Amino acid sequence: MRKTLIAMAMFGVSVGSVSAASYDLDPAHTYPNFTINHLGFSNMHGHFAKTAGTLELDLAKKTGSVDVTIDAASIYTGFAKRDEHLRSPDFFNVAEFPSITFKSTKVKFTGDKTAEVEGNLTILGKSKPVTLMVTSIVCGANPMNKKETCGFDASTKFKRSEFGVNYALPAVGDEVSVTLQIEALKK
Amino acid sequence: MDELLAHPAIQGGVAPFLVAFFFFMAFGKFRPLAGLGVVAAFLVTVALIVGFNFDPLTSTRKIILLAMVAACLGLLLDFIKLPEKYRLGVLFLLGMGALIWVAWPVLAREEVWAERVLRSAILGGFAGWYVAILDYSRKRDSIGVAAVVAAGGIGFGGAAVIGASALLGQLGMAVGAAGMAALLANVIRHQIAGSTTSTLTAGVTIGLLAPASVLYAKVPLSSLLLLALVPAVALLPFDRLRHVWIRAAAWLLVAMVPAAVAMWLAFESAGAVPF
Repeated sequence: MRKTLIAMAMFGVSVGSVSAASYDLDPAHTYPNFTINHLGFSNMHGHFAKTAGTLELDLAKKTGSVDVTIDAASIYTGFAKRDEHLRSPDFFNVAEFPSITFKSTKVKFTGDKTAEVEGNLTILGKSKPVTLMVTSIVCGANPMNKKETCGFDASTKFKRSEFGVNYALPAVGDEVSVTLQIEALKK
Repeated sequence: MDELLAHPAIQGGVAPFLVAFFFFMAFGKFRPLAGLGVVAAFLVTVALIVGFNFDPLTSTRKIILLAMVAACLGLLLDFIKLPEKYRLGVLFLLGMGALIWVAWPVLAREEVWAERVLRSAILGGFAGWYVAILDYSRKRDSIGVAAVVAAGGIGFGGAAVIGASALLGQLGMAVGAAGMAALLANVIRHQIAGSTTSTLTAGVTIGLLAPASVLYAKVPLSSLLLLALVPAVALLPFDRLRHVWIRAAAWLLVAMVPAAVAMWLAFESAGAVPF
């Protein structure tokens, strides 16, 4: 325990020590991962490889906002032909709708390291309210590049049919589980 | 039953074929109703695959909406005659305008102005051509028209499925299945009536789906150019052949040549089907 506290003090990793600041999402450490049922047999996993965005955070006042843009064409499930199908009009129609976005409308801290982020998720140009459950918030100096960094783990669930992504229902599941790994660097 | 109706081959092939065949056999001799076979086939496939929810209004949903508008316009034109002098020009422009409306969110993103115009002209030109040439052929032998509707739908549908969009492919296949049903009904009943409802619905759906699959899936432009040849086959003089079966086979075989090459080119470009 003592060693952990010393290490945290050395690297400046803490929660609550960060005043209001603006951050850019670190695309190398920010990935929306999704899980969806495939024909009732298994739960298939995938992620989007390119995500950008900004974050405003004041841990002292417990306020914040987030604006995320996901490159829909960067979808990756480990099989190129399936990824092409997911980019087609059957699912994300990336030629017509190149971006998936999330803009927060309200951030409610539920603890020192947890929060609920309400916002609008836009897929195929259709926006619906979604709540992200943030289960971890850790801020401090990144030991590698020394930059002020905040990291988050978050998750949510929604029905793809609510966004008009209807193809192959119900064989390919309607409910999509999303987990997000987010790191943001102070501007 | 639900499992059966969820199968892609039932949704895009068997169901539209059966529905269209019923319509052609029941109403095939009455001009305004004869074309409802194509409309019903297309709508059955839409109902089974994506339903009639138009929010958000994506390009695919715009095409479905326009196919329904085309069916209504076709019914109207079967009752009210448009002067032949202007008819083809008006339909060409309507087809071209429809494609530009459908594809504008993508076409508008093209930064070079000249390329935007060129792409709009090629893709819109295909849509206008397909609508106009099918309408022009409606007064010819209905066996030839049925054959080119079948070959166009199957050729485009196959190319789209290979090019990564099963949805666009199934919608095209539904029109192809309706064409096959019309061909069979023609052979059995000897000449069902030619109808604008039929040619306009088929022309608008394939005329819009095929260029859309070039933009949104991976169907190559060369496939599109070959598919443009398919409806012209209806103008070949196979009506001189005496036996109805031979006429049907001749038109279908010739129309399937560019359709098959279009599918092969899509395969060369996009590779094997992932499904």
